[in-house]
Amino acid sequence: MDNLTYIAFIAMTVSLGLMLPLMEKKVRRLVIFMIVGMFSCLFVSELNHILLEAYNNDMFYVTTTITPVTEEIVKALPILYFAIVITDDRRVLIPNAFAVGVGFALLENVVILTQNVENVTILWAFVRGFGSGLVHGICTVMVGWGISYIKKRRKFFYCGTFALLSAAIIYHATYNLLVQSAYQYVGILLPLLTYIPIIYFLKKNGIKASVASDS
Amino acid sequence: MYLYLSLALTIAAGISFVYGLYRFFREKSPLYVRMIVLGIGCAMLGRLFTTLLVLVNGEVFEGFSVGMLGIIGSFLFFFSANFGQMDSIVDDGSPKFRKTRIIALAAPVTVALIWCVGAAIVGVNKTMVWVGIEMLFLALASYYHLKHLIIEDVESGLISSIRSYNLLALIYAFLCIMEVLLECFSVPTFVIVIVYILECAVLLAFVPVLERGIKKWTI
Repeated sequence: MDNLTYIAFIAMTVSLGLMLPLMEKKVRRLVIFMIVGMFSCLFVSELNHILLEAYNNDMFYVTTTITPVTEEIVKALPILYFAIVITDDRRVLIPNAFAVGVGFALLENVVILTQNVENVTILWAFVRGFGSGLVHGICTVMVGWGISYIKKRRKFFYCGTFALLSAAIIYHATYNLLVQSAYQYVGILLPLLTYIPIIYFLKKNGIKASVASDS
Repeated sequence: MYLYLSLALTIAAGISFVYGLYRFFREKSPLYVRMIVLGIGCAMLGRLFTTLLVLVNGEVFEGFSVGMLGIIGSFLFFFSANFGQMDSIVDDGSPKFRKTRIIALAAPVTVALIWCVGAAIVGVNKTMVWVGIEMLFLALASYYHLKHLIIEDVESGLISSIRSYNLLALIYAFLCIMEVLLECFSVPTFVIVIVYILECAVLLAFVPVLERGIKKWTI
């Protein structure tokens, strides 16, 4: 049997890709970023395989220490490229960053589903949907916020993005740590507890296009 | 005991972060203070991870641990706030401030010396290399904290009103170094407890001290 990760990736991205010409520009961009997120997941899955072998298949160590770092860096790269080449406008960048995170989580969930097909339940689907989907989305948005300073304030961009990347990695690692422990229900609540205040803050203040208002 | 000490630090950073969010994120506030609050939030996340790792795994991993990124991230936020926002206002790059710039180098040099002494005693192992990387970011931030503590105020009280904050941040940087190094040496337990208590106190004082300082900006 061919690699299931690749099969899932092709099946999902081809269908989404065929739909692209019919979409409006804004929606099309979001779907493209979701596909980019799925591709990031595919790339990271290969990278993680190599790392897992390098660390003697110590799943707990790798998922709490190594994979949060690799995943957050790989997810940030398309956002960084988009900010440099196309636009660093926060109103465009933040939803696209979330789309990358959600696309990543989508393929990751499908891959985990195919690997544990006999053990999964409806509850598992809710847990993965709310947990992993939100964690990846929130983490990419955090990094995307820092990247939005790339052209306007370079000093903030260099240090701020790395600081936000650090925060995103810790947040991701904390989620991975909790879901593998006896406190997995706390792990599921963690993304929900952070998603609600973040959405409230963004809705209340709006995603500002200009960083001039920050100073 | 390490679990309880780490938990105490998580709670102290958490209280400080939530208070900072409440004070500075509800309404329009300078980006400078928001970045400091985010730095405290990053410290809280790092402490939370370390606490949970000790709870689940029984110990932290040798060498690199994600918890280290909490300290690195928080000092990067502090550094970013000072370097990206404040420094260009208080230092125009003129020779007038050359002496201040040179004196401020004492902070990163001290950090480097502490690491060198630690490495000479313990030996350069995996953990010490990562501690060194952590200290690099502490050194960067401490340079600006010391500089802004001693620099002459030309912008009518802008920097002098937050000198207490810079002093606290400098103390916090050195407490973090002590915390990391004490783990490498066998020191009496009460010394470790004192360092942790001081760290908790500094973390709790951050936002109120900063708040008192920036109030003077609008007067």
